[in-house]
Amino acid sequence: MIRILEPYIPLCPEHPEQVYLVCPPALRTWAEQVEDFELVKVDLAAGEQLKPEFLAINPFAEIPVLEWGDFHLYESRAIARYIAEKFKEQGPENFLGKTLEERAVVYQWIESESHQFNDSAFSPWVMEYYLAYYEEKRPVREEVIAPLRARLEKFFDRVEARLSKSKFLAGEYYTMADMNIAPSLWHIMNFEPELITSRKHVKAWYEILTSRPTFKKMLEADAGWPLL
Amino acid sequence: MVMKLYGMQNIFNVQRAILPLFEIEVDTAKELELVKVSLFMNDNLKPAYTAKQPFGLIPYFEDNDIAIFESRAIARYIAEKYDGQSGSLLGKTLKERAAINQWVESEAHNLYPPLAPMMKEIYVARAMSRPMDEELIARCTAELCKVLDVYEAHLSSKQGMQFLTGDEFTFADVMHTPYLWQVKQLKAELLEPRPHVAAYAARITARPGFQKLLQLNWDAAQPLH
Repeated sequence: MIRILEPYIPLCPEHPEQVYLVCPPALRTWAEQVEDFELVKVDLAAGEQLKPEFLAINPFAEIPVLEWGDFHLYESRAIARYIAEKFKEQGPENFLGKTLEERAVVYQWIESESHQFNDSAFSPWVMEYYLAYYEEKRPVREEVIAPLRARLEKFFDRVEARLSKSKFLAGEYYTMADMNIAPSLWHIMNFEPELITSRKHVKAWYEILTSRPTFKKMLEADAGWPLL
Repeated sequence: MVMKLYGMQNIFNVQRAILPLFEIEVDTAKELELVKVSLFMNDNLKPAYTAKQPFGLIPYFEDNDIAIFESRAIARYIAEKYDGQSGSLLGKTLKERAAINQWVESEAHNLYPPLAPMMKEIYVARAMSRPMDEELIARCTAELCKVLDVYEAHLSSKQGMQFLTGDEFTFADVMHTPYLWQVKQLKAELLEPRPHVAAYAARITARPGFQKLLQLNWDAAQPLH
């Protein structure tokens, strides 16, 4: 039985979209390729990730973590790669690219999502929304959000230019580069949809990614958590 | 056709991209050409460059029909291209590869975020002859120390552990080399109380491949057209 340890975010009835707030890329790959898995929630608010039992499997106190017997793996993008490789014969598609040339471009966009989008822009941006709406119940701080939004705009401008030449980030078919960013795009639609909807190709791409049956399956898997 | 690396000297992301070539002992004198993209001259913002790298960042890399950016993607491509030649940096089994990828991501998301802005501030302040932003340095240092503590615990978790995933030098260690070299050069005091990290940093930066990379002659690089 494969288990994925991922964060438990208590639901807030006024903001039902919150249930999808943290959807690590690894989860996407699961839904695409693995039928038999279990999601285990780690209660971050209660500091479960700081307990010795958790630190023993991820000393950086971060989620998600994949557990398969005694094998443990952390870092969502490493987990996603592992699953893609492990199940590449069984899955319907090859998410990392078929040739070395294709893979190079997939890797480029995986890194671009990771550094030019996630770490430098999306992650702190979504954290400010999360803190404002759910934790501290206050308006977002514009002085925090404005520079991050500017970076997101720049990133999406480049993606818009790219998608005017190819159907997906790395070329004509769906790859891990698209997979890794899809959950984050979902959150952007919840808080500042115009970042996506104002860009013709980004909007069309968003619609394709989120209408995949496996994306819906992922949202369903995440939705089954108890209400506070 | 030779491989082309676009960048400049003393940029740690450029070093990260190309280090696998030196570890694999490819004949870089014959097979690698350098194209200078000077950040000081804003070459990275010129249309001739942003047509290739739309984010205006270095490095950028070409190998026949392949043209890619992002240092970790370039490095991974190189490691895959030569996989099997002088060992396998990427790992032989699925589980080895998973562990290597975990530490590759750890460098990117745990070590790099506090370390990179601090190093950039130190170098830019020096280049512009202005005082360093001490508050930024202090904040990054505090965060970095927490991360280095985890590395210290990891590297001391098994007797005689030489590298991040065990006894063999891998792609994960390649990814850690350029920035740990900077820590050694500029923030050695952070390594003193962490003897396993100190020994690891010394071990990976002393390797002939990295030493050879440091000798790359960017003065002889082609200009950007």
